[in-house]
Amino acid sequence: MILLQDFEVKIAELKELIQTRISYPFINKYIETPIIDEDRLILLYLIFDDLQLPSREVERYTITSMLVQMALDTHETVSNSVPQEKSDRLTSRQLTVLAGDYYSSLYYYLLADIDDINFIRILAEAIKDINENKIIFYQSDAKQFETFIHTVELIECAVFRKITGFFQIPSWNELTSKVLLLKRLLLERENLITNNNSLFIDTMRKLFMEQESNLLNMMDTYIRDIEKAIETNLMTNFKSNSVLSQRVNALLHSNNSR
Amino acid sequence: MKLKMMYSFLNTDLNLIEKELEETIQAEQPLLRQAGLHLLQAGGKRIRPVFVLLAGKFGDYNIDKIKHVAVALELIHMASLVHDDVIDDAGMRRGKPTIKAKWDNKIAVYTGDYILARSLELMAKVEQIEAHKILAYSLVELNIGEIEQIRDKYNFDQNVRTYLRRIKRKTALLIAVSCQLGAVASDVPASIHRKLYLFGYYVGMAFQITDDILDFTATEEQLGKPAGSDLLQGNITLPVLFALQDPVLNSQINKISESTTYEEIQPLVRAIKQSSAIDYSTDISNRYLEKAYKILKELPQNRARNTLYNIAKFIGKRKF
Repeated sequence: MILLQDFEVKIAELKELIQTRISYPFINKYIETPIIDEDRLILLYLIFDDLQLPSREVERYTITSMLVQMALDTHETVSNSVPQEKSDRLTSRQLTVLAGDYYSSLYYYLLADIDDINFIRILAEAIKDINENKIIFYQSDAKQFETFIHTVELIECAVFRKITGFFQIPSWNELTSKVLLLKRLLLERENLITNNNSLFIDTMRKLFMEQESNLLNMMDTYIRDIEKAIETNLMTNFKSNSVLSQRVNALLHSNNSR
Repeated sequence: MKLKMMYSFLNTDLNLIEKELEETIQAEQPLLRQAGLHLLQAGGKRIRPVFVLLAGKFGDYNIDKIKHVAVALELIHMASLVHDDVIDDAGMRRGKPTIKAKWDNKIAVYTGDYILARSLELMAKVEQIEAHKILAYSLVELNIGEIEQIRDKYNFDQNVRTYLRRIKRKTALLIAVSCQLGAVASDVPASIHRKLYLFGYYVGMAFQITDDILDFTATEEQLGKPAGSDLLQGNITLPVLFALQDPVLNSQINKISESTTYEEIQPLVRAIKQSSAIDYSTDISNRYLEKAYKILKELPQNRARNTLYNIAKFIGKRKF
């Protein structure tokens, strides 16, 4: 298992490699460089490291899984509104679509380069599942809060679910899906409190309008349950993984004001 | 002879491809399924699958194997069209409302991503790693081509080389790859599949140049969009680059901007149509076709080779 100091160097190195890969001057001029979700990056790296795969595979699998996520996150920012003027805003939207496509093509290119057809398939299946669920979420008419949250969970953890399924590591699947859902819920909770617009909050308000005053409570109850599940899983299956425990605990205690 | 008649001997396999295309985009989610079917039913020439199958005839032709390549390449093409319509804010394609117009941008982006994922899932059934390396490289290039097309819009200070590199990435590569991958998946020796790639590349270049000429010479009815649309959108094509060499046309072209209207551009479109720019462009297209014919002669003689020749000839003469 990797030592903490080596781990930090490796994560920094991976971030730089991803940034270099996605950098394209004309795109950078018009759209914001996508944020590299460090929690996802760390979880991916820890999974592949735990599997004791050759370092080349650990690196490529981590980078390509991140590229897929970033491609989809970039596409998520494409809006329906039509820019009123043919201006930089239109160029920015056009390049948002193209940037997402470009990152997707890079994932395929990097895996073909190491002759890994299996992983190409795994990530393609994840993209397929995510988009199926994104449409369900977008058109959501869920009557139950649980159903609504379940769709979000499927979107957030599809990449990890496919990977952990392929390598048959269910404990990692359980942990990562809850951690990623928690992360999203914490973000949306913040959006709810600060009145920030988000598809999640808008949809939640639309679906559970009559419970508006309870929305925060509904989220908090859910968040507490997930936190408990994560803590138990961490103690049972990953007690000796200090790097993972440290990171997940930091997330668990990131908002003590609840 | 009509294009479809040229490869009628492939009809059984092409029908199978059509069925596979339909099955592949059968998403679990009803709206996604509808959007995919809407796109499929809008039709299309299916020229990429045709090239895949014809190229396969140079080797160990097994439809159960190369169908994955044929379907995957058509899906990649379809996914790029769905996203192109979001980029261009296009309301109609092939006489039907686009996915973004019928639903919205978000649905179109999700559908495009879904279709691309399905195509890569299918490609993963292709065992030859070389096929993946070729396709993956081409996909990256295709996207760079699209990005550079946005960058070069309304930039009248570009040269023929920039244009040729752009259409190579935008159009010719996927046709070239269709020819090559059909062969690779059929275990055709490298010396032959590389020539098939070149054939597809030359034909693809001629195809796009002809398309760019037709933007000036064809009618609105034939094009399914107003003549001069490319120029109006700021796409600098080969006829425009040649027209820029004429001082009078040059000054008119340089006035075009994002605020130019369709009505304002029509006199210029007519002037370009009557200028020597069209003949010069046709000449370049013909040169690519000559190269395509030449490379075909270096391939083993068979029915597929004759068909490839006829298709190339058709592309050179097409009027819309």
